Amino acid sequence: MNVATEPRKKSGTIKVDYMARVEGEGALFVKLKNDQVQDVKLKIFEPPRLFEALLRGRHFNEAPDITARICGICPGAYQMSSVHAIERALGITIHPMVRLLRRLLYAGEWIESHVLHIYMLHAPDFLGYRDFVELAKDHPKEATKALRLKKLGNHIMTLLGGREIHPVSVAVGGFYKTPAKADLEKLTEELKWALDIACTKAQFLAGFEYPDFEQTYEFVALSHPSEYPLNEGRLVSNKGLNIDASQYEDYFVEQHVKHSNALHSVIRGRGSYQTGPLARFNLSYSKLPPWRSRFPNSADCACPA
Amino acid sequence: MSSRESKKPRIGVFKFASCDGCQLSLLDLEDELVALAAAVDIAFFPEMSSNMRKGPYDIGLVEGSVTTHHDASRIHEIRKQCKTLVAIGACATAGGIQALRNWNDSKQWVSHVYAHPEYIQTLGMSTPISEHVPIDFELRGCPVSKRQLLELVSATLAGRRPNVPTYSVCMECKRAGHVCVTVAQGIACLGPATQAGCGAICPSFNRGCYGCFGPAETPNTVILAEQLLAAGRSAEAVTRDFRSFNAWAWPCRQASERKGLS
Repeated sequence: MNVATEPRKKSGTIKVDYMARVEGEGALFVKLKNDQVQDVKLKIFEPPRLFEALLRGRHFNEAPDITARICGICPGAYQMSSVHAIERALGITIHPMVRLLRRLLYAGEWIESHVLHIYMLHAPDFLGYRDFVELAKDHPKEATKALRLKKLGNHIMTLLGGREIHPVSVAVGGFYKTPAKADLEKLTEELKWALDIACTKAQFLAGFEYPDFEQTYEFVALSHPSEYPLNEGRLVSNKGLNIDASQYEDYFVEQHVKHSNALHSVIRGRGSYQTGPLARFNLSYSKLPPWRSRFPNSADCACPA
Repeated sequence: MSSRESKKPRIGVFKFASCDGCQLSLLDLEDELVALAAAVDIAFFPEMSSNMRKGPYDIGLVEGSVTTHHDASRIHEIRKQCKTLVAIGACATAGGIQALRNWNDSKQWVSHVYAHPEYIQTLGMSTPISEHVPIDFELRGCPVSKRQLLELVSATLAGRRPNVPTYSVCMECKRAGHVCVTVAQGIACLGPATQAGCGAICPSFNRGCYGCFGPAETPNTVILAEQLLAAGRSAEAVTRDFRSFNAWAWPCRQASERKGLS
């Protein structure tokens, strides 16, 4: 969010009409009185495209291709959710190899999307730049490594799915075609480099100056008995939630507020919660492989116990 | 802004109803992004930069379709500001997957999604940019090919027409040496009527082309629909084949509505 350039006021309002460096389109409204926040409105004015309605009457095989178009930055996430929902409805069990390849495809998307968010969308705010190109001028080595990491994520997507945005290989029950073993093996060297760099980068990111602001978060993510969760597991939280995905509607409710085209999802009786990488990291840190010990861990930036 | 920078061609990237994937293609140019940003002045690209400057722009790239009153007037302002205006991707060139509402009651659709349909302001139709303002070029694809996007920018800056072939996917497919999925396996494929540019990805993944690059030049979509029906594909399936990401493109409409079908 780009509110840092707004003048600091003890009372008044902060208005950002068009938020830069975010996915989609949004505006932000903050009302302050005597340094206290009175009201916050995140207005998602992105025009509705009505996917829930347009999917009606389509063949189930078309769902992964159609739902991918919800978001060009994370099409794999929608492809995975739709195939898993349909497979569950039809009682289909997938081959263990399909499961592994889906994890790999999704991991490729995480690499691409997370590098995009960290370096291109967020880091400029922490380091005082307006965009990644300005950042790259002053930090060429950091920028080059970030681009190489991002490219690796896209390469994995392309190898498994034919292209990085809206891959074409994901099908209900498996893949239209799986990659050759030899092509997968070629990824090994670059992935070793990437793991090294990612651990080093975590140190660099931990050094950013973060606002001194913490909430009583309720983190919600999937949890798997033995793996860092990507595609399966129970829905858990740090406040005792532990349910099967089929019970989602018993515990969560999606509310429609007047100022936003994006629905607000809350836990029934408790309120808002946080999902995404941070929630996953906090809930499943111990499931990360042993290289997790290379992450920065200090009083300022602590890994979960 | 230095005087040198101010002489660089100014580019604006604008978003309408879309998934962000086509503009992301610019950020996915990992090997070229820094050089591209040095060659041009990216004056308005909110997804990439908080340095959002007013027009006029030498090149305007528009992603997304028009689905609101506000956007229907915004596109006229953008047209005035851009020397060259290019629609990028299936939403901007054909209305996108959200144009499926054009055959349905969109008010009812809104009520399927939202608890308070009265809060939602949306038009009954999703329409391409060319239905609102004259445009200089259309770059196809869902998403666009980032190679073609780079070619488009380079060509426009050099004052030539982009080298973007308008022939069908079959040409790319044959050149890549793929065995035809329709002939060999009887898989329904829109390749014969779809514009090349993707690199015939779907046939290389053992599936039929689903038409995300829209109709090729002078496509005979109606005959293709007839052939699919003759091969035993159901009428409902053929309608759905042509009602996807480029459904509102006229040749797809002709085929899905069976206009002129014997």
